[in-house]
Amino acid sequence: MRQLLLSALYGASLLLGVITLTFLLFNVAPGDPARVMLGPNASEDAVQLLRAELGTDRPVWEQLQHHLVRLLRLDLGRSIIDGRLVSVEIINKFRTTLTLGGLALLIAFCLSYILNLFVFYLPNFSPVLALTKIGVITPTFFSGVIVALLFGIFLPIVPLTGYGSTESSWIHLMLPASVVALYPIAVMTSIFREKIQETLGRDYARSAFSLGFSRLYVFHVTLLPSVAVSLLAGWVNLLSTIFVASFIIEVIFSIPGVGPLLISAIQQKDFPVLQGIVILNACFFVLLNWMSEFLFRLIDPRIRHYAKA
Amino acid sequence: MGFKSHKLLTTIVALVIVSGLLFWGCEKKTHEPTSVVLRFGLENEVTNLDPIKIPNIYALQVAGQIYEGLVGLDEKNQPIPLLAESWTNSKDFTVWKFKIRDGVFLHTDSCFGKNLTREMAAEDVRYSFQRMVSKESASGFALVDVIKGVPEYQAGANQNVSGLRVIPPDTFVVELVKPEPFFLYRITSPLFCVFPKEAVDLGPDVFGHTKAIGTGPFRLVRKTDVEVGLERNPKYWRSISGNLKEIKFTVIKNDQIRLTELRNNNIDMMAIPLSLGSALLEVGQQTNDLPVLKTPFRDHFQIDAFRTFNTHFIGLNCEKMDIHLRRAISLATNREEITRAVTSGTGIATPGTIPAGLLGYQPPYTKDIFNIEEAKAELKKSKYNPKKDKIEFLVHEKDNSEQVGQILQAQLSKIGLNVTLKRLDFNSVIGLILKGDAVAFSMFIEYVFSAPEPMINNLFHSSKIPVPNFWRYNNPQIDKGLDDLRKLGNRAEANALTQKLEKQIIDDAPVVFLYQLNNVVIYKNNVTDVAYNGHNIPLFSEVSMK
Repeated sequence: MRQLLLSALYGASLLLGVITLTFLLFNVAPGDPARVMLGPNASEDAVQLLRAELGTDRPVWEQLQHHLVRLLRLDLGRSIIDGRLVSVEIINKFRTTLTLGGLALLIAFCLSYILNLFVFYLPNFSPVLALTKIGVITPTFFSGVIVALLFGIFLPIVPLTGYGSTESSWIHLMLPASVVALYPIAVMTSIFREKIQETLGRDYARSAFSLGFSRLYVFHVTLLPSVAVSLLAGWVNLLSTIFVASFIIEVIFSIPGVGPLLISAIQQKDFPVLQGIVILNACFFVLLNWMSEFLFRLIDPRIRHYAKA
Repeated sequence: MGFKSHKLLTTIVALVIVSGLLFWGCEKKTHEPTSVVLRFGLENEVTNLDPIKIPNIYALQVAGQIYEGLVGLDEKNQPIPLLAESWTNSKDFTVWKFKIRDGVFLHTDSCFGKNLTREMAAEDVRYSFQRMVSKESASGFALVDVIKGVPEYQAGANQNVSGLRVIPPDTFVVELVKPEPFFLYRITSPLFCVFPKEAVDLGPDVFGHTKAIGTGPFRLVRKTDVEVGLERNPKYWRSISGNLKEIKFTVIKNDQIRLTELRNNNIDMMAIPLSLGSALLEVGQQTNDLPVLKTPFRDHFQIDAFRTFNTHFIGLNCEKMDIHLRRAISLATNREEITRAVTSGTGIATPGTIPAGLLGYQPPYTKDIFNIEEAKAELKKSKYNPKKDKIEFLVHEKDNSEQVGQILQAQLSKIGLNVTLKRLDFNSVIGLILKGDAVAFSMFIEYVFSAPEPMINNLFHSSKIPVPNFWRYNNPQIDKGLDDLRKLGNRAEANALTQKLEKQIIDDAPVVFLYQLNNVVIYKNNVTDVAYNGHNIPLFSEVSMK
């Protein structure tokens, strides 16, 4: 319990660091939010009036103080570009990114499991696993465009775009999610295979076979629990990759998630939106790390034992 | 391998086949053809439809269907009365009176209470114009220093703009700071439109996002981040020649994917961006001034090119460069070569900025002024020292700026000019220009005006330094000429003086104008009567689908 509280405290301090650093970085970056809002043609007087209203003409420390107080009240402010509430905007977009990332995770999980099970049954087919390495050698922005053109021109069986429109459904996310899943499939299939091979040489695995248990039983009951912690750690590490890949894919497939919002916020110097995205991402990953630590303890008695010692 | 493993493999194969069939079924459903719904592929999001916060041309193209101003432009760029039935002006062109049209109803919405709509009134026009010149308005730049009483209103000294008033029952009056015979041409863009106070009072999370209420031929029925749906306004005040019942704007950011969706019959129409020019158009070929589509597209699609009010150029800081150096750059710039390389035949190389033929205007130069020998002679007269001086040219991510920079760098090296390219983001480039720190920069402008006089006045009068006279050009002769334009009510006289002034400006070269870009649109064969006006607004009310 003490350990978990300490991690929570660590997470909170990390969050404060992220907020301050983002704020300072944004302030030293060139470009003026008031000018962006009014456009290049607006007069300097009009821009000055708006600066005063936004508070961007005040000293940086005063702005930071004001910013932190507002965040403590859970107020992320409004977008300086379109005036919408940042919290509402980001949560809506984050939901889409989570759906895409979640679907990619599911695809990667199912495929890496099926492939390993397949190769476990038919070891002669193990070279098939090398095909998954395509996901490692092709960057997401490249594979995204190639897959889109391939399915758009030669194999138009799934829709390329349209997620977020009135007629959209999860089908619209299948292709983008599959592209996001390419890298995790490669990595997780490889980790899965390596750990299974490693465990197969152990005495208890050999005993299970000699006792006459079926391969299906040995795979699921004897081997899988032994490799579960390594796999879970692999998945947690991959989540950040999945999210970054989701951002890129969202831009290519016009999915209204955090990715396009992040890019437009950077381009248009929309600080409230940018800060909101950074905070939400930081919270998400701090929470995820905290939860994974909790899960590791739950699954593996050795970790509980060492923590107590 | 035992029986169980066979069973497992069979199950997996069966699952794959079933899911494949499911995808197929779902895909068929989305391909159902719709008769009078036009699906237009947009390359960027429509983030805001609040007229004072329109962020880009994509949002303006949608807003142009929903809102209307006092006057508009037809496809020949002639002003047409919209919400103003007629207008008069004082002898000195400082007071403009607009008689507001009767029987124009605002789009139906619950913000109007039980009746769901009401008739648009002169007070709506006054309210809209006042909001357009407020300090948070992005479209105010065109009116703030033109209409009387705006500075006092912006500073909070007055609750209303003194230069905007209503004479009951139906007259809207605009009082100007200086005479402007061309005032009408300032307000032809749908940026200067009419909307009701009730809609604005819904708040910034609603107006412009989920609701946009105007008087235009189409009304907003849905808006998400990737789609904007409009339907025909049943109470529209004039008859519509087109047969579109609905327009669906679909946002597909990736150019290649948008083109694929057009080929797959998922959209009916899109603008051709510069990046797709070489994929779609036969380079160097033209028929009747129109680019020619490549063979595989010719059977199913048509294209049209529309002249819109834009200008692409290189800005030169007059405070950091002497006139001879600027002239040398202008004369050594091969505009034809740049235009060919950058626009795939969709641009018109021109050393001037005002579109030829606009209200009868004839540019001073009809051809490129590229002349290497004269450029070398001008360079000799300048203070430029080829051994130690370098010209820093700012390029950014927009509008093929970097490609223009690279070509220009090569062209100017032929007369011995050292040009270094500095890559920055567009907003940073603007920041440096406004501080006066930029020496040379690539830029483009989409004019919101529709007559030669305001176009040239806005960019080159010394009172407009630093915005939008970004090049800090200060020529008293030109200032006097631009002031004289304010007294000329006669179109032919105004055109003649503008031509003289434009020639002088081109020769002084505060700006090296490169080309004007046509809006080239590709659409399916069953779409007819496609038209755009000079503000780059599609006239969808005239479009039909077979």
